[in-house]
Amino acid sequence: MSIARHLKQASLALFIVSSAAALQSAYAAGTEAGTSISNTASVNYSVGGVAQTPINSSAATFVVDRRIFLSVVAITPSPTELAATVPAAVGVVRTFRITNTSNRPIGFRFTPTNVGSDNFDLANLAVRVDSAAGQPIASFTPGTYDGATDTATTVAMLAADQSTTVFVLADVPGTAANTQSATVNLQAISIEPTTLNVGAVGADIVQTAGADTAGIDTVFGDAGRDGTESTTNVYTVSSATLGVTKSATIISDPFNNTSNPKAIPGAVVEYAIAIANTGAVPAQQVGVTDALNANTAIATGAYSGNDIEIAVSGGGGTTTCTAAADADGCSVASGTLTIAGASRPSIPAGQTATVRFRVTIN
Amino acid sequence: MSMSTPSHALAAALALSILQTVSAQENCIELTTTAESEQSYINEQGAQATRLVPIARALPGDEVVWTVTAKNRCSKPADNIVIANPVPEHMTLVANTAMGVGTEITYSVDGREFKASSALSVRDVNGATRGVRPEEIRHIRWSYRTAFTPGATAFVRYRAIVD
Repeated sequence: MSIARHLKQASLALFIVSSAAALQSAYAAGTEAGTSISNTASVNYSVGGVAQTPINSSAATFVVDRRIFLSVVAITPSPTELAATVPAAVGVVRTFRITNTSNRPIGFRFTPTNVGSDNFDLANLAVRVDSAAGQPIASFTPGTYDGATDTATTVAMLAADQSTTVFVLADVPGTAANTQSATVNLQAISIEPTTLNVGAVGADIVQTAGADTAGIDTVFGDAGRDGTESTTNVYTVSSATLGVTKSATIISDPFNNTSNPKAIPGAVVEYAIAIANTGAVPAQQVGVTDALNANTAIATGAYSGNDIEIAVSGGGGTTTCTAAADADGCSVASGTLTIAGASRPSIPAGQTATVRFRVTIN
Repeated sequence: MSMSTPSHALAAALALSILQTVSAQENCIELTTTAESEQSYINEQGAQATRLVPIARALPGDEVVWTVTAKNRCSKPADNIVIANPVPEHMTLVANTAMGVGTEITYSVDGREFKASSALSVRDVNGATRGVRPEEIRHIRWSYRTAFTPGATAFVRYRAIVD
């Protein structure tokens, strides 16, 4: 009696499902190729009012073929990647995500190409595969290029429903200007998987031609039905753009001193050379040369006891140096003022460096 | 000694015949299961038509038509016929595709409690009760309302998609 009641309670109880997908193996990639799907039906019946032994049908079976599905997605360039995209830069990285949604592990090889309709072409295009193992699609985070470890150029094997990171490396020509862009296309081609670290590259996967064969057939399920996918990523150049203006102000003359001074012999004139960076990245090691007028001579000690002042706006600070040819990088020789770039602070984007010095009119 | 051989053979033949009779009684219903896919073709009249073609292979996402055929090969009627079929592993039932002439069709999530699909419910992780989804149905049962006369054949059918 207690058993019967227990059964009744069980039949009244609702089925409990832990999640929507709990009762089925729901993979994006689908049932793995080669899986045998078998079905056996059964029948209960009576003859002459007597229940007979239930009968099972023989199993009806079919095998799941291989469907190739892959995708390539461009990852938005990181601040680091963007900052590295400057004229004449070598091995500038763009990141892509490769995903295998086939119902079998597959490998990948890659073809990077310049896309025609853009401002310039990149040089020395190369592909490197992240050395990290493939990650499940749902929890994928792209890797960061590490030249020491990310050396492979093909993906030997990527399990179904996994993504991995692939990097395109390219050289930016020195002639590329600020805001110009170049588009690179990365084509991923599905190849037969090989065991990792063997080094051999698998052959391109081909679709099974003609009728169903006895083995596991291959069908391309991707958009172009060709087992390859591609996408583009953009290299937009960030460059410093410098503009130079020079102005002169008469500071004093021997007669008026600093009150309405005139440009007469013996007057002191201050020159200001403003170097404005209207580009997107800091300009570094900006050197300055200026030919002094033959009728003038450099005035000394005007700036904290030194002869030349360099002020950078936007909190860049003010430094001074001497006209003597010494280790400070500034000098006036043979009528030419020179500020060696290596010794000077950079000019941040949007800021201006102003070089001031004074001369005396002969 | 020389006479014993034919008598042994006779006894063996008799035994075989008895065995067959017993076997036939035990398996009054002959049950077969087939996997087919629906393919379109151009018929003799030049019209688009569909037909079922047996399959040996399929791709994820392919729809497979499962047909279970029952035949009464006994000389007596068979009644209380109930055909049961679990939806195969790696497959998902297509909603409202189970059919069987003269049957009452019930479904189950767990293979124990069978109900009409609209009467089945499950409790989700939050404890709320909701109607069952097609992918959660793992068993189908067809109960025939009438007996199978000797020699009668009937089939039941449903569609499922390869996961």
